[in-house]
Amino acid sequence: MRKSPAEQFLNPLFRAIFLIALAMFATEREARAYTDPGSGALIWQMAVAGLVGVSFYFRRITAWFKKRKGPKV
Amino acid sequence: MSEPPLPAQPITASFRDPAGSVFRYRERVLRVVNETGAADLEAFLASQSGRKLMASGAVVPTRALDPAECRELLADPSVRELYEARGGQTILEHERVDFPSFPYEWTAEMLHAAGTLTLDLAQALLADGLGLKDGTPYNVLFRGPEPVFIDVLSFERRQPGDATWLPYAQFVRTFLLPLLANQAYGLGLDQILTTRRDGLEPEEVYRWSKPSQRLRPPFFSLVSMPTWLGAKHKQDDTSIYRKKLLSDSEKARFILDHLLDGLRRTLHRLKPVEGKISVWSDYMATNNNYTTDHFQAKQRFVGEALAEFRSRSVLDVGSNTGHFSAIAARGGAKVVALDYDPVVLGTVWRQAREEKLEILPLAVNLTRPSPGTGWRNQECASFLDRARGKFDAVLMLAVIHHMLVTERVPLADIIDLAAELTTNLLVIEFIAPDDSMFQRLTRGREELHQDLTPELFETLCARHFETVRMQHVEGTSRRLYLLRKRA
Repeated sequence: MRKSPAEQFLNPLFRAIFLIALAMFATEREARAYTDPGSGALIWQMAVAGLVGVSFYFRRITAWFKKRKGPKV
Repeated sequence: MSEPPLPAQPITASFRDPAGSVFRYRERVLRVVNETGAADLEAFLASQSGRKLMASGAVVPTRALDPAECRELLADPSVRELYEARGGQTILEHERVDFPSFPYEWTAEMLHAAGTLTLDLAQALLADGLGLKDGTPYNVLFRGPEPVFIDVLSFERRQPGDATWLPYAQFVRTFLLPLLANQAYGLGLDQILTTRRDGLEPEEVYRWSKPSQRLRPPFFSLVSMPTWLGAKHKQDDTSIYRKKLLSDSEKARFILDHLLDGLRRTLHRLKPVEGKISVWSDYMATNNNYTTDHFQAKQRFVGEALAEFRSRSVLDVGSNTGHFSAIAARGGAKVVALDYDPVVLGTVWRQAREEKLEILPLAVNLTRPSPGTGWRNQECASFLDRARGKFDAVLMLAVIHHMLVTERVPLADIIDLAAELTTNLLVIEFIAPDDSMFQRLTRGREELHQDLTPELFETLCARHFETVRMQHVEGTSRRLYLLRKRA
């Protein structure tokens, strides 16, 4: 099945996140003091939300182009 | 002069939700709702999705009591005290769920089904601008094998520009990480959830995980990223918890839908697989002492007993794959099937769901039943407190030797407990020490059980029960008893 343009756009972004994760993995240090449980999950949710937000605009743009191309077909 | 009124007997009620409290009152399940909860509740009850969810049975049927009914209840000082202490505005009545159960008694399949229901609700309500303000399995009970959402104060009106689902992390801790720990490390939900009300923290699972697992899904998004990001986050910085609203509500909705879809995909990945093997999963096919004919005779004995006394609620102790639970349920009884092996209970749950049988499988070992948990041991009642006197028939088939030998519980105590659990019938199988299954468990310590004879068994039973009939299992020393509790 052909991937939608939004999905094609998302892939490099996911790759970028994966590379960042690798970097974090490499610089990992043990948490010694109290860490705020749940903060990590919330930040991760926000990071994913930001990513999906970008894809939202991209989807809008592709939809706009499709609409413009539409009548000519 | 009239005497001062008696001090009100305090009612044990839930207390965590600022919007209200649920309590049991003379076999009814009631909920006091205060000003904080009233507006959200009204919005839910008036919404199309809310009505649909209640009609379908996904959300427990609930009605607001009219002023006359409220007055009647508030005439009881104990109810009035609770109502006033919680700033009550309305009282709701929920349809009762026959046998309340808690996540640490469920199989992984059931936790998965409860998670699916939670996400279904969160997504269905978005259309009406509503959402869930928490995402915990304690919002769900089971009616037979079907999950039902019981906390109607979990619904809230959402701000259109809000793109975050605040219970996201709670959903991960209480549904996804326990399922992941179950799948990856074989931990039972009882081991994870009995002592942890709030599930597992990503940091905890991170410590258990192998480095090779950490970059693989679903560890990567559920465990590793939250752990790394949490460790790097400055603990004094609380700005992340401030609500951020987007100006574009369509975008917020798009993001939220994606987020919930993502959770759904992860949940699907953690779905327990069918056909897992455990010590007891092949017991019915290979281990039992019965030939086909004798097994059919046992089936008839049990089926006829339940039919003759029209048993409506049955407790099947040591249900294994639920063969006798299914016989009882097909005869119209509501069944609670207990076994300590969650893998065989997964089979029971699947079959009950497929055949629409009223069987609630619970991973409970009757010799070490679930304790009362939570604050003052009162938030979730112990298994025995919920079970005593709730069944008109108790089945103990091919199980007493496990209790006697493996757990070393005296026979008299086993019979005493059975008499506490049942209000009428006990169908029990006597297994003598010369039985091959019995000997397999004693492992050479036969002398501990040399006094165990059918005569002793009958004498101990006679303290609580009269024998309706007894049947020998041909070719073995086993006997089936149909006992009726003395009035």
